Amino acid sequence: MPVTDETIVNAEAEIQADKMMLGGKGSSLFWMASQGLPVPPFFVLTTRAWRDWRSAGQLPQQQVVRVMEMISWLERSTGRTFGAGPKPLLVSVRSTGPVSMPGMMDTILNLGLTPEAVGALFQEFGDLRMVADVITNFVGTATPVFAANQDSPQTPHPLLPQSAEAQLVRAIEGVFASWNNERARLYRRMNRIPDDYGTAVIVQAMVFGNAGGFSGTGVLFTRDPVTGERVLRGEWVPAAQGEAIVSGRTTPAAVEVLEQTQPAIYRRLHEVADQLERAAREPQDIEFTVEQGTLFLLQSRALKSAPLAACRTALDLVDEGVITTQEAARRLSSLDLSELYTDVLRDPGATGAPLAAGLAASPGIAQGTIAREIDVNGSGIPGRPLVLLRPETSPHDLPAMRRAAAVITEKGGLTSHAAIVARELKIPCVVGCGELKSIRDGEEVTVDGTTGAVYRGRLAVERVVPEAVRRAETLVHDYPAGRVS
Amino acid sequence: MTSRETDSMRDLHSTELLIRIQIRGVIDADTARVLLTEIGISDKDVRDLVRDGALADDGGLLYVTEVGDQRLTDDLAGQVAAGELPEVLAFADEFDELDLDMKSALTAWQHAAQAHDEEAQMTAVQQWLDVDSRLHAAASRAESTARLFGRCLARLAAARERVLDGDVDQLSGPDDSSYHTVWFLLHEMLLRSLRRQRSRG
Repeated sequence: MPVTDETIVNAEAEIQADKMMLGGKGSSLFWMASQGLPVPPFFVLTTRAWRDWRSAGQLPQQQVVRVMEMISWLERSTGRTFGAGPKPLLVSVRSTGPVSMPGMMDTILNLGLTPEAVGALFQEFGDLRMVADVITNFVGTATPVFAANQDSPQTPHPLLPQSAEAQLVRAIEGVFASWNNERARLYRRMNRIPDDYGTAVIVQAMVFGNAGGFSGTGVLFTRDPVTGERVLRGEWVPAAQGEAIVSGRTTPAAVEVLEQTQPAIYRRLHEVADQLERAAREPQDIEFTVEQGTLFLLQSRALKSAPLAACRTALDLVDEGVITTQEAARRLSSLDLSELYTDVLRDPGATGAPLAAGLAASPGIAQGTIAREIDVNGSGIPGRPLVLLRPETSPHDLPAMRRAAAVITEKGGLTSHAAIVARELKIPCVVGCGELKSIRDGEEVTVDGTTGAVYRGRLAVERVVPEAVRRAETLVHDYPAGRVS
Repeated sequence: MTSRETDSMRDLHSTELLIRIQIRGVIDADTARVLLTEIGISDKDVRDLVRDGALADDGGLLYVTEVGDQRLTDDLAGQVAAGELPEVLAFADEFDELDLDMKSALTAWQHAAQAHDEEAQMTAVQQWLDVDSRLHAAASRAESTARLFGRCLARLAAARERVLDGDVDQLSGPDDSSYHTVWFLLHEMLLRSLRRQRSRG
């Protein structure tokens, strides 16, 4: 039963994967479903539904009716019953904005967990630990959303409604409302995402990575997000739902363990990763769950990589014939390649052992004359950078820090005020060096904020530019049309 | 408002002027005018501070003298009435814990920004917002702390709004008006009001 209108669409609808309407995650689910990839059944309340909700201040009654029709379709698709036995249907309710806003908005897992469903779930799986985990994930994800959107005291009702339908309506409204939470608002400002885009909501049948047999949940990166190397990376937690990875409650294993324990699943993940990356023409971050030996894909989105990894990946994708050189130049132009240079000391031992060693609080190398006090009235030796040395810093050291080439403190840690200010000023900083009576005012020093060492005299500094960065700079230079403004 | 309350308010304003000049080092006449308006203090109050030796006026450039630095501590400590001391001490104890959490949140924010890790940045933002809420709850528990540090708390609230409006440099940046600088200042005022030394960086 393909269902399409402007507010609600289900997985069987043959529609264009339109991010503005379905959100990024929603359109990726439609695409994966259209390719025959194993995606649990779902439907999407579109950004148009968000606009209707915003205008009405609540989910309009006709949409509530349509949502429940969609739930009936999910029940038929899964052979389960929403909020009831003998095989209960539980759903996840997730936000999906037109532009990726990872982790900014709310998600609720295992919704539909009524008292009857709890009993039926235990009957079905016969696993008390699993049922307890399902309850924990539901309460843990639903309570903050429901609490944030609690009605006025005049109309009190239980924080977690017992009816599955009431849970669902409140969850959808809560996830719609999370578009305007403070984090989401800030993220939109930082990334210039218009406030009126709104979010769509995905309602999807839950699969149980915490069931018995071979079950678990994981994330998969199609390339190494730190180095950009073309290897599968990721995390795997056996007998758990996705929340286990997000919440940090458990320590995941590397996804490579599946190569030994479940080689068929691991091979399938390799194929899926390749298929998704080639289709998207960029590395992917894939969420998956295995329920009793069956693989399900829950999400695929562009992988957020470290800048050096993004640089290497753009070059590799050209070599692999996935993108054109011009496209790579366009992608590379959005990176500040100079950020990837590093300065190192050519011979740190040239003037003997370090004068001081502490915690590397702000990276970089600077040279200058030690000053325990910097005269903020402007006096000092013109043209000679000063290295501020203080027991610790207080607010009235701020003017001196602004004039210093580097900062050294005897006390304090990596989260000290001195460290925070130095990182903002982008000057090297070494903190927690212990008492430094042996360093005299006026002494010339070299401060290495990357390693946390202070050396006597002015040591030679060498700039290191990674090979991938040199290649990228040449490419951007040769294809200036790829530049973004 | 009684004349005693008016005097107390003027003292608080003079104290704020001294501390805000101190974090800038030296200010010129234009900056001084802006500060006077923001704080709600008159030229005469500034002249009084210069006359008393708390501020030096070096050809129109103002800076805090050693006398002014000592006066700052004395004024802040003097503004805590004997009966209010337990409340301020309780707030200071709570602040110690909040300070660690706040600096951790801002450090996490900086590291995440450096690594271009937006998810980690937003996790740090949530930590920061949580600590901010706890601070305001702690300060509002007693009238004395709300009065003594009210202006700093208002400046923190204003910085918070600027950050949430997208001016992220106002979170951990080195400007006088950034959330971190005002927090740093609040910590300093709290320490001086109790004549305590800074125990960590």
